[in-house]
Formats: sequence, C-alpha cells, structure tokens
Amino acid sequence: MLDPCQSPAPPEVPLRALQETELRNELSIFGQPLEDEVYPPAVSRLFELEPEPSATLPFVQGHAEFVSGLARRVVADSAAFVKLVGCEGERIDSEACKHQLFELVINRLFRGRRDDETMAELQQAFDAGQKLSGDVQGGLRAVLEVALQSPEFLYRPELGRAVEGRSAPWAQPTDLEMASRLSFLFWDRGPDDELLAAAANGGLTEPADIEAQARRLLADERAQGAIVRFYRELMSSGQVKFGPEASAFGPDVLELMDQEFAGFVVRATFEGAGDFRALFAPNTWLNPPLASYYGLPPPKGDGFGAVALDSSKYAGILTQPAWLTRASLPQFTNPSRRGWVIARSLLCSGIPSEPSGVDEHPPMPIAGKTTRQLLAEHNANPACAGCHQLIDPVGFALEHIDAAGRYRDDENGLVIDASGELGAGAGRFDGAAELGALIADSPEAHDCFVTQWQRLAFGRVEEQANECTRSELREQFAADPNVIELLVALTQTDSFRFRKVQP
Amino acid sequence: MKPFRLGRRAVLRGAGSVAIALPWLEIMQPLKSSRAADAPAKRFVAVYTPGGTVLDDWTSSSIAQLSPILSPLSGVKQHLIALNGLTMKCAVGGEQLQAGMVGLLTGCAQMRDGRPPPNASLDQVLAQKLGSSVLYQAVRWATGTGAGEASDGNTLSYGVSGDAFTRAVPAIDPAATWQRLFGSLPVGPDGAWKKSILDSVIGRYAKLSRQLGSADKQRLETHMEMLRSLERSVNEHCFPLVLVDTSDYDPTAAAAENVVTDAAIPKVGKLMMDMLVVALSCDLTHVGVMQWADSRAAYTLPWLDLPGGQAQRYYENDGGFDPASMTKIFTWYSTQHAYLLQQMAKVDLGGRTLLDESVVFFGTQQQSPATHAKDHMPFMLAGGGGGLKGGRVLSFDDQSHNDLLTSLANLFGDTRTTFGDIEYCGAPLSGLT
Repeated sequence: MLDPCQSPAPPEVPLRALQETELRNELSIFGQPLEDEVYPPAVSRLFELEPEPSATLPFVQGHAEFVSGLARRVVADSAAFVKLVGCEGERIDSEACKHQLFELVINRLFRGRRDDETMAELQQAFDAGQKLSGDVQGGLRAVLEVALQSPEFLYRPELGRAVEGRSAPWAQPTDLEMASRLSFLFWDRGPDDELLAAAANGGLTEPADIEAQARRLLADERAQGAIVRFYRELMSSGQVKFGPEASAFGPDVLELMDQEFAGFVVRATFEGAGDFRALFAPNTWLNPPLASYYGLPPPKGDGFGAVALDSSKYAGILTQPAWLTRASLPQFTNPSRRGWVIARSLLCSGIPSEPSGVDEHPPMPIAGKTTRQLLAEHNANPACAGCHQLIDPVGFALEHIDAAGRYRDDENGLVIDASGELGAGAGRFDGAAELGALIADSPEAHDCFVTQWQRLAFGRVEEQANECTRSELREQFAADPNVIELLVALTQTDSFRFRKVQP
Repeated sequence: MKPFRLGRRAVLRGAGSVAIALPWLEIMQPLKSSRAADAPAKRFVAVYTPGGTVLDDWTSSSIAQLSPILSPLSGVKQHLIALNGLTMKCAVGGEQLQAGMVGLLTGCAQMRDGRPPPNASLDQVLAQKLGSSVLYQAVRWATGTGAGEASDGNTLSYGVSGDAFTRAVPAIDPAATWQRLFGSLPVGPDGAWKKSILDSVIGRYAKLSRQLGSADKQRLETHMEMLRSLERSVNEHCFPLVLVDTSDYDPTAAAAENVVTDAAIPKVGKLMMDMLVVALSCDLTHVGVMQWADSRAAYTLPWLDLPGGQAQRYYENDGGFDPASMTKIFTWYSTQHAYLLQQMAKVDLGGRTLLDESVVFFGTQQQSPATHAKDHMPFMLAGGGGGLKGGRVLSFDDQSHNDLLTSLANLFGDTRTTFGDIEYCGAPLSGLT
C-alpha cells in the first residue's frame, strides 16, 4: 500500500452546523429551558458517515420562535440582564449595557468574530427594534434575536487564511477559528475568554501552543461532557425506538444507568492508566439504589462511586446496561442488535444497518429455548445469514446481561451459551469478559477507535486527505493507547490544523 | 382569498430546489411550457368519509347526469372523476371496519398482530417527495373522532420511521391546529417586527455566504431559503383565515354521541377545510389528509334531522340500516366535498388554480355500511395535477384499488409500478390523464 503521507493533501473541512448538544451548551448562558420539539436541530448519526444534515425548515422556524421568546424573557428581567451582559450598576437602557450586550454577542455568540460591518449591523438591528417597539429594551431584544439566528452562531464558519510555506489549496483556520475547533472538540461549545485571548495574541498557530490549549481544555471538567457524548453516540443503537417506558424497568432506572455509563467512561478516561484497555475493565459507577437494582455491592457513601466487579462476568463498556438495555427489547435481549453495535462501533467492520423492510423484532420467546437458539433458527435464511453470522456471535457474548441490564446466570433455567469467535482467527471467547479481553488487545479495535475519534473531530468526512493523519494516529495509539494522549495528538495533525481552500 | 402574484410562484419553484439540492438560482427559469399539464402534480389531498355509500344512489353513469348522492358536486363536476367498479382487495378480511382504514392509502392488509402495515401510505410517500421545502410535510386532521392513541381504527396514515412502522394520528382539536399552523407565523401585530428581524438575519446569511467557498455557500443559501420562506409567510394574502369560535366542540367527546359537540361538526369541518386550503396555497404543506370521522363514526348528525333519534347507526344491518337516511348523510358529505373543491378552485396560483395543481382523492373504508363489502368502492378523484382530466366517470371491472394508488403516485412523478401489497397489484389504471 502506498504511504498516504508521501504526498499529503489538505483536508476538506465543510461548514459545520451546531449539533444539539453544542446548541444546548451555547444557549445555556441564558438559563432558559430549550424546547424538545425544536432541538435537536437535525438528526445526525455520528458514526454512520451520513453527510452533515442540513437545517430543516421546522428547525429554522422553531428556533426563530424560541429565540424570540428567549430574547423577550432575557430583556424583561433587568437584574438578570445586567448580570448576564456584565453591566452591573447601570440601567438596562444605558449605553453601557447596550455596549456590553454587543460584546456578549461578539465574544460568546459569534465566538470572537468581530468586524466593523457586524458592529454596524448590530447597531442597525438595535435601532430597528427600538423604533418598532418604542423603547431601548426593544432594541436589545432585536439584537439578541438577530444574533441567535445568525450563521455565525448556528454554524461554525471558517474563512481560513494562507499557510506560511505551503501553497494553495493548503490553508489553515485563523487563530479564532482554531479556538472554536478546540473548544467544540473538547467542550462541545464555543471558546472561553482564555482561548479568545490566545487567539487575539496569535497564540493558536504553532503546534506547541495548540497542544498546550488542548491539554488545558482536556483537564477542565467541561471536557467530560464531550467525552461522554462520544461514547454515548458510539454505543448508541441508532434508530431503535424502544423507549424505557416500554421496558421492564422505569425511566428512573434508565436515567441512573446513563449516569453510570457517564461515570464509567469519565473514570476510564481521566483516572488511572486512561488507556484503551481501561474501557474493558471490570468496574463501574453506581449509587446504592442502582447497585441494589442490579444486586451488586453498593459503593461507599450515598452517592455514585466506583464499584469493582467480578472480572469473569463484566467487561467495562461492553457490559454497560445503558446501551445494552437500549439494544434490547422490553422483555428479552436482542443479540443481533447488540452485536451490530459492537461490530460497527468498536470493530469498524462495515456491517450495514439492517435492510429496510425487514422485521426488526427477533423471534418471540418460546419456552424451552434460549434467545440464541431461537435466533439461530430465525437466521438460517441465507439472505440474513451473511450479516448475522458476523454480528450475532459478538452479541451472544453479552447474553448474561438481560434486557433489563441485570446479570443472569441462566436464561429462565436454560444454559446460556455465550461462546463464539471474533472473526476468523481473531480468537475465541466465552462471555463478555473474554470478548472484552480480545477487543482490548485487538489491533483492529485500536485502529477503529482512532477512526471513530477522527470522525468526531473532523466532521465525519472520511477522505483521502485524512489517511495520512489516520495512519500517524494509529501508529501513535498503538505505541501509547492512552485516550487523552490520542486526543492531544489529534490536534497536532494536518487534518486538525489545516483546511483545503474551497473552490 | 386574493390571488397570488405571479412572481411569487417563481420564487416558490426556486424554493423547491432545496429538495433536490440544486443551486436555487439554477431553477429560476421560465416555465418550460405554458401548458404545464403534464408536469407532476404538486399537492395531494385525501378526504375520508366513513361508512361507504348507498351504491344505487351513488353510481353515476355519466358526469352529465350525476347520481342523487353526487348531485351537490354538479358545480365542480368538470374537475371530478367518479370511479366505478374498483375493489379494495387488500381490505377483504381483517377487522370489518378497520381493514379499509388501513388499506385505503397503503394498499396493505391489516396486520393480525396489531402492528401497523409494513408500507408507508400514499400521503406519507408523497409528503416525503413534496415536503422538504415546506413547514409541514403533511397536515392531517379529523372531525368526529375520539382522541387517544393512533390505531388502525382512527388513521389512514402509516409511515416508516427508521426501521419502525408507525401510525400518524390526525389532529382533532381545531383551535390547537389553527394555533399550530398560523399562530406562530409572522402575522398579525407582530408581523412588522418579525419581518424586520428576518430581514436582518437574511442579510447576515447573504453577507457571510459571499465570503465562503461554493459548498459552504450552498449550505448557507439553503438555510437562507428557509428564512425567506418564513418571511414569505408574512404575505398578507396568505392569512385572512380567522379562527372561528369552536368552544362548543369537544374533540374528545365527538366519538361519544355528544349532541352539543356533534352539532358543531359542520362548523369544525368547514374550518378544517379552510385551514387545509390556506395551508396548501401558502406552501405551509403540500399534503393534507382530512377525515370526517374514524372507522366507527359514532357521532350523530343532528343537523340532518334524521328519523329514529340521534344516533346515525351507520353500521347496523339488522333493524338499524336505513338507506334513506344513509343517502341523506352521504349527500351531505358531497356538499362538503363540493365546498372544498370550490375553495381550491378559487385560489389563483398565477394562471393555474390550487385545484389545477392538486390531486384530491375522496375515499371511504367500505362500499356499504350494512355489508362492509369492499367491491364497487365509491371513490372519486378531483383536480388537474399531473395531467389528471376531470369531468368524467371511469368504470372498471373489479380492478384492485392498489392500482389506483400506483396511478396516483405516478401522477406525482413517482415511477413505481406497484403500491402496497404486491399480491393485490395489477397494472396501473388507464385513462386518468
């Protein structure tokens, strides 16, 4: 194979729209609840390589409505407003407060993008609003409404600039644009003051400067949310709609399971070795009610805490009920679905989603047969076998975790066969723990993990130009499978530091 | 309703480019032909009336001599195609009242395990096709049907969401529907404000998109087009619709023979038809489904002064079935259809009317209230969309109504050759255009 780094090409970086989490984070400064119907703005399936979803008309309209109400409420509460924009001690209709609102728009909403024309347009929006409403508050309201619908807020536009020593189509983001790249990658939101200041001082061009900021962001608590989001999307079973309300346990338990999942991945990433293997370690993050639900020993204290698990039964992320229950049916497991998640997300094995129109329900339980036995008959159809023989065995490994997320020794008295083979020659396993050990040591899984992070970081465009970056990262991750180091390394790559000039 | 300006049509055709991801200016060209009769239909309406008909009083041998039940439609007969002799084969068997609801727009048999049929219904297929530049892919509402969960008995509309099959339950509250459709659009005293904000926002998109490369620019222009379509909805021609007082109508009581609520059904139905016409002509949606009831149709029709008390007893054979009353009821529905078609024919979209661009399908779930038979279904079409030619009676010999669904999809440029369960499909109907 040709070395992809022989003739590197600059990466295409298409315009990215804010995703749901990002939008929620960005709007959180106003302290107003968002409307669930409007947000998410568009359905994005991060790990299925779909093109960036476009804005939809219902979103555009719903967002317009929402920000209209938001602006009204924000301006109506003078005390909160002066605090929000930072003009304490002044009247809301003072020149100082207007000035501060403009600053908030530029720094927080437009992420530092400032030019004379924009300032003039904000003033025009203010004037028009004041004229139509008859008061200064109306002007402030109009500025907020316009700003929150502006492309500088809803998108992450990059104009780029020339690169010293490289000619077109090589370009790089401006320092401000780099500030956004970093903060959205690690914090799911726009840059903080320190990043903006670094950008203003030309401090986000050199790799060492970028690395320093990356490490600062990753050390901040805000990075946890982005890490959790990555794993949540990674292990999500996509289109499955089986909600918690239909399952054998209540939504409260599912919410606790989500906290368990978040606590587990945060701990696996930020504590201890923080390496790939830690993702498959036999421990989790429980509080007493959840521990009692599972029948596991509780953590110390009343809140959530780490709990060590039986290393012959549990394997970290593989046995996390938050995703296993979602990849189950209300009353029984769905090994095909579970196996598909692992094959797609952890092994990148290129298994397609199930063909449309197929019956997504696994066979109904029959007394005297295990789910595995039923599925084996069900998938005897050669048309199905092609994919199912790849995904089902991996799913069977998790059969000891039932549809409600609890460990079971047997399936209604029947012996569970959790054995299988991880692809030809890649090793045999019996149960989740052995499967976890195989994946934790699998070079393919390491490579896949790198690919998944790359998709997240670079807007899921898999193109030739990112191949060099991928091979570099894979090499580095093979040598040091520490997740934080992988993320720092991401920021040092051509794919992250550059962009291709768009025709 | 005032006519639309011709210029607006050109803009709307541009907005359609969002759907097919062409640069929107590219499509801003003159109409290919002054006679756009063979262009695909643009809007689809399905109207459901419950119970079937009284076949002898329904069947017309020619459009010149409309039958008693169809006589109220004489003023719009040039737009009408009465279809004789189609059989809803997919609905033979199944629950006697519901199977026809399930099959009417899906061409599928009712599932025995309570699940929705594994096929999207025609309205949903067309909503996908026509819906990407409008606020709502489709609007669906119903009078005289109890609320509650979507079921085979109360909806015609079935979809595929991801890998799951779904039912779309019609909206039943007229005031809430009005609020949803028109309440949040930039109209009324707030119009000037909203227009001003949108102007500023659109200006910002225009400015930024000039600085970006072609692909990014196109994304922002797509977004800008949506903002423009919001701005267009400020158009005063679009919103003369006044919300009539329907406080005497309790949508959740309409399935329970509630006399007060039932008496309001004509008013509510008219409001729903008016909303449908405005929603279609203002491009809030391109697909509408209107149900005059659910499958049971348990409401009374007090304004018709039927003999035998309040309950219409639609579906009773022994002792309850009264053909004279039934004919009276079905004739009243024809009067409502005539109103809808007249309103659609009044909207001038720049040389062509809303009805000219639409295909309207009138259907029911069975032929006869008494027997629940599924042959000789009393179906009608109206409109000129896709080259549909009105003013005719077409007779068929037991041809499957799946073929009608296929033909209707074809009028919209969908090239499929079957619709729904393939076992009920033959060749598409001939002679519609």
